[in-house]
Amino acid sequence: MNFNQDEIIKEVFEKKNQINSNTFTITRFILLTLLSYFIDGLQFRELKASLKISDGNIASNLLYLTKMGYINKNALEFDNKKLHYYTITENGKEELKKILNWMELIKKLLGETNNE
Amino acid sequence: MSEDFKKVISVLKYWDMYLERPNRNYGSRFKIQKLTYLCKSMGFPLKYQFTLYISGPYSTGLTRDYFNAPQLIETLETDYILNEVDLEILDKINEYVLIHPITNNYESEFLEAVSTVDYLKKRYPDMLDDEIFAKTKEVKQYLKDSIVVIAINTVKKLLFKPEFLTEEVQEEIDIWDKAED
Repeated sequence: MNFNQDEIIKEVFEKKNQINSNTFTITRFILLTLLSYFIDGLQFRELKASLKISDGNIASNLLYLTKMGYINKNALEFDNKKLHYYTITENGKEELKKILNWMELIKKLLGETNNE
Repeated sequence: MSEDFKKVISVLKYWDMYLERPNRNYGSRFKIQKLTYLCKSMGFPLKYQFTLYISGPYSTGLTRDYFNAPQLIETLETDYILNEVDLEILDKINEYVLIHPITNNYESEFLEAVSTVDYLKKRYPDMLDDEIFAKTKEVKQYLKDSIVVIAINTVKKLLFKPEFLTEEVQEEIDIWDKAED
């Protein structure tokens, strides 16, 4: 019997419902992670250069995160060029934290299994 | 306030660089990051650690400091006193970067290119210029080719010491000067 593992498994399933499943795609998760690290904000072209996916794909994911209130889109004029940069909001940080805590639980569960 | 941040403020003060509060202005944050990196790279005594990828050179420690005390970027209050060696470094950056004619139209892109090229040259000291060019374009696809070429030349000037000047080096400088024209 392993009551501890039982509790963790139960928690993994319970906490799964607290995460916005639409946010938990690789691209959206990475976008939130990057914007949480670079709190200065990131330009669209910087995200494009690093993620190496199409403009449309990045734009639609950024639009979703903006609509959910997880990130802000800001206008910027650089060298007479009109650009945009994105920053994470408090809601975005909170959502990322929920995902990370959930992943931590899974890590804990698998750690417990490996220790048997 | 951290010792490093006091030094950054003294640098901006020396250059008479009055920027908007970084917590309110992305351009200020961008400029402070790139210039602080160049200062450190040239030997100005700073402990900030910088990374290159995505938005670099970028320091989370520096970010934390200017978000904690953004008003200092406006008031430029500091008790750090620049010494002779510091001033030599700052004058060199001013001469080769801040007042370069290209900054009239492409200040941000030039700062990003120079700091990126410098970082790559430090990270990969054995890389040839064309490899540095390719690597810079790989991590910063949006930088103009011509600006990267000028940045490579500028970094050479920044890193140059009189004892390096051999005939071979002079020939190479001439080739890159022609490319810049």
